[in-house]
Amino acid sequence: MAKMTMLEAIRDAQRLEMLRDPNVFLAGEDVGIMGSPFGQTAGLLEEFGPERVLDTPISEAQIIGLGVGASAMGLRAIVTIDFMDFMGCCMDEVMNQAAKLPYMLGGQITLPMVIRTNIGGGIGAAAQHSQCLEAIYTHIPGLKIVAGSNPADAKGLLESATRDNNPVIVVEHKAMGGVTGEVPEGEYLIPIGKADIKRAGDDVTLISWSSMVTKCLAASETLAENGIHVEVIDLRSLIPLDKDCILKSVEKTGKVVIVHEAVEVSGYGAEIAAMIADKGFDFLDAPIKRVASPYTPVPFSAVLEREYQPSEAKIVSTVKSLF
Amino acid sequence: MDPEEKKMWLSKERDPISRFETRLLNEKIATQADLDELKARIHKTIQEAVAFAEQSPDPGPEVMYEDVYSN
Repeated sequence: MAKMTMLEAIRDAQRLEMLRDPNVFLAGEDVGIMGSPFGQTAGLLEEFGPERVLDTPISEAQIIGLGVGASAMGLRAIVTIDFMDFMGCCMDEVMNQAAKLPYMLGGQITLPMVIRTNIGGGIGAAAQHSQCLEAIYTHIPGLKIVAGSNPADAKGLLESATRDNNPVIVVEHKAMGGVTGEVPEGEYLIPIGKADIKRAGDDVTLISWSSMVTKCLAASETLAENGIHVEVIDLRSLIPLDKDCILKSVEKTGKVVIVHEAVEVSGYGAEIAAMIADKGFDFLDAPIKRVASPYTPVPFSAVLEREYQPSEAKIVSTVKSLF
Repeated sequence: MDPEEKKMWLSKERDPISRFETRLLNEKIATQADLDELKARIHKTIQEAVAFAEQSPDPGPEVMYEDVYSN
């Protein structure tokens, strides 16, 4: 094990995959000479050369289009759209090309492609640079979506995504780059489609991913002091969703709170709640609750942004309201 | 970033603001006094906005819901 930041773990995963497979290459704004805005690809241009680390123009459509074409022809592209807010500029390439081509061509091609992108607020980046838009992509069959909540998971998920034969959106969180943790050295794989129980408990199931896992774990300490023992499920993989893990936990606890940073309305929590209501109705002894952001853009003011984001206190009070 | 390239783009010959000023002067669209006055006015507007922001009380939580939809 080695102590790494989230950013270092993401860099390590890309480097190891490039060493392992000469078909893996990187493309995106400033991934080369700059080593990415936060150093996620630092030194990789020097190590692997300009044929495998491509600095692209500021054109999201072109970046994804490049990845789609290269992956369809047998390479494994890891392309970067720095902030998920910018993915509107390449929606057609993601939604109609990456997600559809293998299907339209009757399985004659595979599309082993990774799209790395950052979500989230907390750094005062305002309404156009702070959104959590992962739910939009869960609505498009053909895509997989994963999100790590600590450096080890970020590394393992990114390496698995690179080896997956489908387009995988790897969601990173821009306020978590400096989070440190123990990370396995060398190649490390986390299965896509498997959730992880970050804390076991019998009273309430908390379901979350990315930044909110940390807040759920913090809330679970406070709740334990009050005699409420929550189970914290980190989905890690939004698509495919690990329904078995969720239902097994709900069968045990009978109570569910889903926590995500994205806006509550039409968030992925709604899909999870519907799935539980459908397949786990008999397990429930309280309404399914959600803790999420309000239905308004992320405010720029630091005071308002703190108010906006789902807090540990809100998680605690929502869990308590179930008793 | 290549420091030589950065220097080149910051030079008076390349920097688009410097180039535009030079053009306005050359084509006698503006005088140096006009440009100085314009810059002073912009500076003042920004300083006033910063002072206003710093002296204003923190916004209440209801403010985050304003202007999402228009009436």
